Amino acid sequence: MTLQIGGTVGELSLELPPDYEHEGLCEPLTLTLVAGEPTAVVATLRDGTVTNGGELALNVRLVDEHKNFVEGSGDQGIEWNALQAEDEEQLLVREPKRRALKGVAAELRAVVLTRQPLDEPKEITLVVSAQFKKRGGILRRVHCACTVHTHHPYAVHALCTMHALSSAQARDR
Amino acid sequence: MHYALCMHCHPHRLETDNPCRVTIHPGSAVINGLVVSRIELNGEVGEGMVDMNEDIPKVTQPTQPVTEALQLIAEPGGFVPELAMRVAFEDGSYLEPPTACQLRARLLDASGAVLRNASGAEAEVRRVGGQVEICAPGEEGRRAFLLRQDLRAPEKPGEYSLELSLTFGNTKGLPSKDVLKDAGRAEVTKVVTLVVVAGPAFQLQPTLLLPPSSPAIKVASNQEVELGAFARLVDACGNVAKPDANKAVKLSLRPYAMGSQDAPQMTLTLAQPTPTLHLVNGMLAAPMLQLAGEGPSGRYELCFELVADSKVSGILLVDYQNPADEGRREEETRRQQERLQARQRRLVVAKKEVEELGKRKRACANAARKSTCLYDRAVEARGEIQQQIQQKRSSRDALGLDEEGVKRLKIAHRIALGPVESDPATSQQRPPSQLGPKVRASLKQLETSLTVLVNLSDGEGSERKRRRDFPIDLLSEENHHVQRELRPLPSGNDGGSQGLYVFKVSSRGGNEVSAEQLGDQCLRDDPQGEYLLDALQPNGRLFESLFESGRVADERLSNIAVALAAPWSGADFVTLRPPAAAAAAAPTRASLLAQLAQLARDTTIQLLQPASAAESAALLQKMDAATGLMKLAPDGTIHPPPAARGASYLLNRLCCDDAEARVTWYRALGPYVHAIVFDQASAMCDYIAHAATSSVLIALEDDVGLLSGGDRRYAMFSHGKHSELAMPASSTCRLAQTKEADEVQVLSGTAGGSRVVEFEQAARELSNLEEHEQVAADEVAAAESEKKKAEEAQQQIEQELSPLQQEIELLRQKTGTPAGSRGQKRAR
Repeated sequence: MTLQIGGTVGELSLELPPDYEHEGLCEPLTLTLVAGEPTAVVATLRDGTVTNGGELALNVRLVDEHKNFVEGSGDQGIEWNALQAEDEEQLLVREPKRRALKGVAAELRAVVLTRQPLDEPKEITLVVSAQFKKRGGILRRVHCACTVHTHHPYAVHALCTMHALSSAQARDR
Repeated sequence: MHYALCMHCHPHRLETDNPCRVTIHPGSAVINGLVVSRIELNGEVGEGMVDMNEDIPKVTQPTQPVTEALQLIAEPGGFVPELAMRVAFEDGSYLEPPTACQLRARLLDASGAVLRNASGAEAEVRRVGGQVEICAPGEEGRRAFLLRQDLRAPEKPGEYSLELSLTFGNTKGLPSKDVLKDAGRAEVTKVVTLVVVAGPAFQLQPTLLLPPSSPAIKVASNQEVELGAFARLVDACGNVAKPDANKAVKLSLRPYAMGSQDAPQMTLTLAQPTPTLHLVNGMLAAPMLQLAGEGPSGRYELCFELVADSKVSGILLVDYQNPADEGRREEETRRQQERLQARQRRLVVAKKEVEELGKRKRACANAARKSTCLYDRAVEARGEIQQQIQQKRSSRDALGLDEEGVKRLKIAHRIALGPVESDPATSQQRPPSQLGPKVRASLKQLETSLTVLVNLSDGEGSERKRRRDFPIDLLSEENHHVQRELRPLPSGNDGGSQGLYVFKVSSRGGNEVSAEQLGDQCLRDDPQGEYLLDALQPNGRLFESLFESGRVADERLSNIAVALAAPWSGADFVTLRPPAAAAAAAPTRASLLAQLAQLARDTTIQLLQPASAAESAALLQKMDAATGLMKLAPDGTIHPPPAARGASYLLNRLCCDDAEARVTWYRALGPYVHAIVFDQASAMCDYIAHAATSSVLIALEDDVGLLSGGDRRYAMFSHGKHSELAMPASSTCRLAQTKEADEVQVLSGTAGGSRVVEFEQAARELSNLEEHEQVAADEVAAAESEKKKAEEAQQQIEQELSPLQQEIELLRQKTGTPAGSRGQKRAR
C-alpha cells in the first residue's frame, strides 16, 4: 500500500475507520512530517513601525511549498540577497555594509528613504530573495513568495506575498 | 480504504495569510520643507514684542505663514520683507537650530533668471546667516532662519519668485549625506511669489523728447508750438502710476530759477493750454503751447502740479524769444564776436610764445641736465682721487717717516749730501779725463798686433781673430778635412821674426795631405800681451772703468782712492782686474805692468791682486751686516757716526760694493782704507775738533787755507797731524756717479732704507695725485658754475612761462576753445 502525504509539518496519526472489520488486527501508526525543499520566502517586520529615513528590520525565513518553515543548521549553501525596493523610483533602500547572510532564516536590515516627501503613511513593496545550491552542486535560486518579474532564469525575486511558484515554473519563465 | 490524518500541532508553519507589508511613516529625521512666515522686527507690532537685546532676536507676535504672494510696493532702495523660515520634518516637528543646514535665497524673474541690480550684482544671498526665535503665543519657541533685508526688491512692477533652497549635508540625526543625495532629498526648495506694484504718485515726469544740448521748448513771440502728451504720473521708481480717477493738474509759467533775467516788466502768461488740465490714464496732454503778453527773452519754466497734492509736480523748460530784443541782441552778439576774435588772435600769439618758450625751456633743461651730469661726474672723479690720496697718505703715514727722517736716513746711507757739503755740480765742470782716449788708442794698437784678419767664407766680410781662436774649420772638400791653423814658417824663411802665419791645412783620415800659407799676416807669440788684452778688455768688450767693481757717489772720490794707493805703489792708474787664474803660463806682475806702461805712457799702472780666501774671510768679519761698512775702531764704531757733521763718505764703502773688491781695495789702500772724505776742509776741522778719531780724514776742497800752495792737493788729517795728499797726475778715473737705481739698491739693503724707498715712492705718487686733485677740483668748480647758470636760465624761463600759460587758459575759457586739444593729442 502506498500513501502520499503532504501538508503541514507535524506528527500525523494514521487511523483506520472505527468500523473497519479488522481493526483489532491493526496497530495505530504515527508519522512525523518535515518540511520539504524551500520554495518561498516569508518575511515579518521585526518592529512594528518603520519611519522614513530610519532603519527597517525584516525577519525572513525559507518555507516549502506547504508554507512549512524549512529547518536546517549550518548555511546549507543558502545566501540572502540585499533588500531591494520593487520600485526604486519611489524608495531608496540602503543596506549597511555586511557579510553575506546565510542560513534558512536571517534578519535583513536597511535604511529606507522615500524619494518624494512623505506626508502620510505609505505602502511600499520590497523584494526579498535568497539563493542556494541544490544537491549535486546545481545552483538554484530560492523561490520566495513572489508574483513579479524574474530577471534571470535562476534568480526569482520574491515579493513578500504568499503566492508560491514552483521552481519548474520559475525556470520556465 | 479510508484514512484519517490528524494534525496535532504545527509550530513551524506560517500562520498568517497576510502578505508582508511595509508601511513607512513620516519620520522626524527627514526634512520635508520650509515654513515661511512674515515677521516684523522693527517697532512694536500689535500685541507682539520684539526683543532685540539678545544675540538672536525674539519675536512674540503671532506668526503669519506666507500662503499667498508677498505684496510689495515699488520703492527706491526697497527690500524683500523680513521673513522667518523654519525647517520642518515630515512629522511636523522642526529642526533646531536650523543652522545645521545651509539656506540660499534668490530672486528670479518670470523667465526664471536671477535678477540683477543696477550694478549687475545678482539678487542672491548664498548663505542666509541670520537667526530669529519665534515664540508665538500658545506655541513653543522655535529657532528659524531670518532673511532680514538682505535682498533688494525689484523696482519694476511685476511678479517675481523668491526661491529659498535649503541644502543639508551630514547632520546628526539626519540620514547620511550619501543617502540623502541618492534619494534626491539633499535639498529642499520653497518658492514664494513676490508681486511688486507701482507705488504712490510721486512726480509728473516730462515725456517730451528734447535734445540734451537744448532741453527746452523754443517759443518765439506769441506763436503756437505743438505739444501733445508731455508728462505722466509716475511713482518714486519711475513706474507709471495709475490714478483711480482723473486728477486735476494746475499749470503755471515763471522765469527759470537759474536765469539772470528777473524782469519786473514781465507780462508773459500762458495762453495755451488752459491753466487746469486733467490726467487721462496718468498722462498729461495738450495740443499746443502758446504764450501771451511780453517779457524779456530767456528761459522760462512751465510748471505743472497735482491740485490734490502740490508735491507731485514737474516742469518743462521753455526758451522764449522776444522779437523786440532782436536788435539789442545783435549788437551784443557783434560785440561779443569782436571780443572773441581779439581773444582768439591773442590766443594764437600767446600759444606761439609759449611754444617758443617751451623750446627754450627744453634746450635749457637739456643744458642743465648735461651740466648736472658733468658736475656729478667731476665730483665723483674728485671723490675717487681724494679717496686714493687718503689711502696713499695713510700708507705713507704708516711708514712713520717725515722729510727730516728721510734726509737723515739718506745721509746715513751716504746717498744725500750733508748740510755742509758742496754742490756736486761743480765737479762736472772739471775737464774730462785724458787718459781714457789714450788708453783706448794704445789698446787698439795692442789689438791690431795680436790679431789677424781672416776671411771666414766666400762673400762674407773678414774678421779679426786672436791666437786662441785658431784652428778654424773650413768647409770640407771631397773627404778632405780643411782648417786654418797658425804655424811658424819653415825654418830659415821668416827672417828670425819668430812669428806665426796662417796656413790652410787639409787632411784625410788624420793624415795631413797639404799645408798652404795664406797671405803674409804675422801674429807675434806674445802671452803677456794676450793677458793684458784680456785684462783691459774683459768679456771681450772695451773696459769702461778701472774700478769695475766699485761704485762711488762722487767721481772725485776715485781720485782720492788712487791718490791714497799711490804712495807705496806709485801708481796713478789702478785696475782691479786680476790675471786669469786658469792661465798656466801666467806672465809675471812686473812684465804685465811693463806692457801696460807701454800702452799708456807717462802713467803708472798698478794691477791689484785679489786677497787670499783666508784673508778675505778675516776681513769680511770686520764688515757690519746691516750697513755693509767696515767697522773701524777697536770698539766697533762704524763711520760716519751720526755726530760727525760734515762727514761725507767713507772710502771702504764707496769704492767697493761687492765684498771681493772691497777686500782687494782694503789691502791696496792699507791704513788709508778708513779714510773719511769731507767736501770741505772746514767740516773736517770741525769733525777733528769734536770727535777723537783714528781714521784718516781728507777734504776735497780747502776752504780754510790748510794747504800752503798749489791746488793739486787734498788736505789730509792722519795720525793726529794735518798733511797733504797729492792728486794723481791726471784724472785717471771715469767712474760714474751713483745713479738712482744704485740709491735704491743701497737703501733697500736695510729696513730703514727700504722704508725710505717706499716713502719716497708714496710721496711721489701723492704729489701726482694731488696735482690731479687740483685739476679735478677746478673741473668741479667749472661744472658747478655751468650748472648754476643753466638752472638760473631755466628758472627765468619758468617765470616767463607761468603767467603766459595762465593767460592762455583764461583766453581758452573765454573763447570756448577746447582745452589744449593739440596738446592732448600729442600726449596720447
